[in-house]
Amino acid sequence: MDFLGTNLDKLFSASDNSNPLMWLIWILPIFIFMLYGQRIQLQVTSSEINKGLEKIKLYRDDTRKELIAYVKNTIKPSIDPTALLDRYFEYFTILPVDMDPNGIVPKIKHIMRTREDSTRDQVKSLSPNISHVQASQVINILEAVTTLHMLYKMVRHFFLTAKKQNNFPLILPLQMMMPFILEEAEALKVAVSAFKQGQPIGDGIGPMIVGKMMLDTEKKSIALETVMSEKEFEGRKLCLLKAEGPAATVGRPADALEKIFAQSKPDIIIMVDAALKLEGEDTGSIAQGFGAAIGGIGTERFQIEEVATKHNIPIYAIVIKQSIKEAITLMKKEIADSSDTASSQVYDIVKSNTKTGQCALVIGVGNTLGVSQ
Amino acid sequence: MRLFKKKEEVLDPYTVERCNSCNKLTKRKFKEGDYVFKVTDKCISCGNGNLMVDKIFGEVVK
Repeated sequence: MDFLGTNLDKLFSASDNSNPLMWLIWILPIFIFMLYGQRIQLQVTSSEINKGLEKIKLYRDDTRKELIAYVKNTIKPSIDPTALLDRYFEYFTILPVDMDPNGIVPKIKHIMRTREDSTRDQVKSLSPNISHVQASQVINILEAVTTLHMLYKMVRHFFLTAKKQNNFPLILPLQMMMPFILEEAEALKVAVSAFKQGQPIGDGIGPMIVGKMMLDTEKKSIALETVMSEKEFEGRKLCLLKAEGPAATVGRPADALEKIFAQSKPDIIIMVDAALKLEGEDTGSIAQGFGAAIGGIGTERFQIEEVATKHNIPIYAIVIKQSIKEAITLMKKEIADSSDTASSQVYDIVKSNTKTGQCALVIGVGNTLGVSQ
Repeated sequence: MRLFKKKEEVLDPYTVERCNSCNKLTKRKFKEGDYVFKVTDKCISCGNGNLMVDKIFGEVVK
């Protein structure tokens, strides 16, 4: 090996193991990595996490600016809303003590409802001219910015703690979680645009399917931001339930269900919802199953399961698969196109699980933004 | 690392309208104020029916 007149074999004395230069080249890095290996890894990992952290910060700042501009331009409040909105980003929720979990669900429900009601009141207080749909859109954008702010603060906390204490093991779980956190942050950032323009999101497929079944029927409000209607189908009665669109709301289907059961007892419950797909599954693919298909913190599901179990009513579920990003951003064509197939599956379940004269309750679960009925 | 950078997916919003009389489907760009099941205009194809928004979705920009 002779490059530009330098003999590398001679320089490193490849044939002579007693050369000190050779000794240093091989032994020194071993000692350096033994003593400082974790710190070097910490530095490399830190720089990667720092890049991700900067991205989340940028998303949070962009969405915050978008929200403030949207409120100023659309709602035109009499006072500058910046201070109020900034205060809201720092709001927190203390979940009840779970040392004795008995009876914890009503407590969680109470705390979450307090937060929801308070947010709604504060947003509505921004301007007397704010419409119901605009208020719901602002609430949803506010939730997106607050979540981004919380993600940023949590990642920054673990990152700075690990760096301060030179604690490599502490940064490892953060490194593993970072791609998932970034995926969610990106989805939240993109979601703001759909919320601002009132476009249906992937999660709205359930309300879209039931909304179509509700067309040309008389709709009545049954719970907060929730509507129901009735129609006949091959001698059976269908009770249709969904959040009241086109506002950005999920309604209160569990409260509505309790009210329906207080009046009459349906024979089956069918829930139509969006569900998170596994990697490799197709967006918009449909699956049928059993049990209450409803997301959220779990209080609504608990309430629905309680009622169904008490009255011994079977619950059937139809889900439309999508990723977390697809669920909170503009509805993709594949998801919208699945609505007709899912709808026919609802009718099939009704036909095969009820007899003439019986009643089926069909619930379209999800955020009904941009979807009427 | 740029070599492995994921290409960002951009969605273009579209509105599909259906005539309640002749069932003709029309696809156009999404306009702010559109929502699913909104009755928009008279159908210019048959002149009898009303157009109703059937779907709103995003298509990937290629």
